[in-house]
Amino acid sequence: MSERRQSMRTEFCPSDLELDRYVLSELSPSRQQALEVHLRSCASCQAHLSEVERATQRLQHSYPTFTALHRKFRGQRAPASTRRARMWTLASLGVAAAVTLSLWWSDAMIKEATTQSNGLRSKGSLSFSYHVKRADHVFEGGMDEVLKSGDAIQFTVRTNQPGYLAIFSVDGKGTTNVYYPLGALAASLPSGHHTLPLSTVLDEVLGHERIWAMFCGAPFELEPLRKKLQAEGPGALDQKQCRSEVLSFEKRAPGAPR
Amino acid sequence: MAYQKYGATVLRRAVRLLGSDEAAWEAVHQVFLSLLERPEQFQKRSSMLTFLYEATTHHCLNQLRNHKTRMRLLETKAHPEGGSAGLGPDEFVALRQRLAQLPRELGEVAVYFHLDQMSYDEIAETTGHSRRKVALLLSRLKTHEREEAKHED
Repeated sequence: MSERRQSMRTEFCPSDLELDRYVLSELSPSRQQALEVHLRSCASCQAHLSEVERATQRLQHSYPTFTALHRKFRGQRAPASTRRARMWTLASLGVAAAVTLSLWWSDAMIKEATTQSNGLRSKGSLSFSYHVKRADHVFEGGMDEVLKSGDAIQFTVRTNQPGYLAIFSVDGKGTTNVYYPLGALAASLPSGHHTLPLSTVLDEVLGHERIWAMFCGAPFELEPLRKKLQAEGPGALDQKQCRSEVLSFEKRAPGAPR
Repeated sequence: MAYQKYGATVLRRAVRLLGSDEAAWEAVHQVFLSLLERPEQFQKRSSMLTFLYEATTHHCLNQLRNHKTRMRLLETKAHPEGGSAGLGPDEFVALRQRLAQLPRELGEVAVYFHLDQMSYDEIAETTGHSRRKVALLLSRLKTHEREEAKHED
């Protein structure tokens, strides 16, 4: 019953249960911090998190079908054969993920880049910024920064009170995506300065892309808000007990001039 | 709703254990429909996450033990997303065969210990067993695996 992850595992590697608790924001702040230090240098655990991300993206697209199944279940449970057929349909759903990879770079690189520029946008108690990694170079992204497909971006958020955070984007084709977190609900965030654990490698959809940080006093579901943002535009984020901040960049092909 | 928050975890776990998209989606729906049908299953003796770990493991092991399902799953090679789970195609088949042959309790602790890399305390939390019983089950599992290795030799 050997397994490659087991052979790559060190005594510091967390169990799958603990990694799942991390993704679901169910760890204590101190344990979360310790785990993040480990994740930066552990390829095995990073691979596990990528796997979780893929599963999350696939599941988000199945939710309406499950709701319908739930509604049907309340009245009359469908025959097994019908359920199986429906599940086949679900299994065949393809997901065109706008963002895929998860990776980390060191706090030191980000700190160094932060001292070189100031792309921070802030409002009240919420500050929202991002850093860009291109090859081995890390720099702080500014408003309407020109970025390239393949660049990796990582977000930084500062708040003076605890709450729940999600990050949405609308890309050059007008498609709305959730950049953070991985799960179905906004991530719980204590007050303070946070470099979010997952970074995003920009895909090949070119053009102007806007990124919103949505920070609320209560938990909220991501998919309904993503759909609302897609349908109604930024006004969908004007909600009670919430603040939102926007950043934007221009995404160009790797060989294109700045 | 638990499905929205924990569904991806259940799906990933089921893909890993069953190695098949179809069977994994079936597991996701069965686990959550069962929870809707009998919410008293979750008696808050543990967290929702550990409850779903146990429910998914239980469902998947039942599927592996079921002869017809097992035949279908054994024909399935590694799921394309199984790479990061760390198992190659042959290892996937061997793993499912071994899990299907283990007694129920040993199969569950084998999954938690070998696949999930859980500590004794985490296995105790997930299964609701005492730490002492977990140690006993793992001891029996190791004996079982040693005997199995002798037979293979």
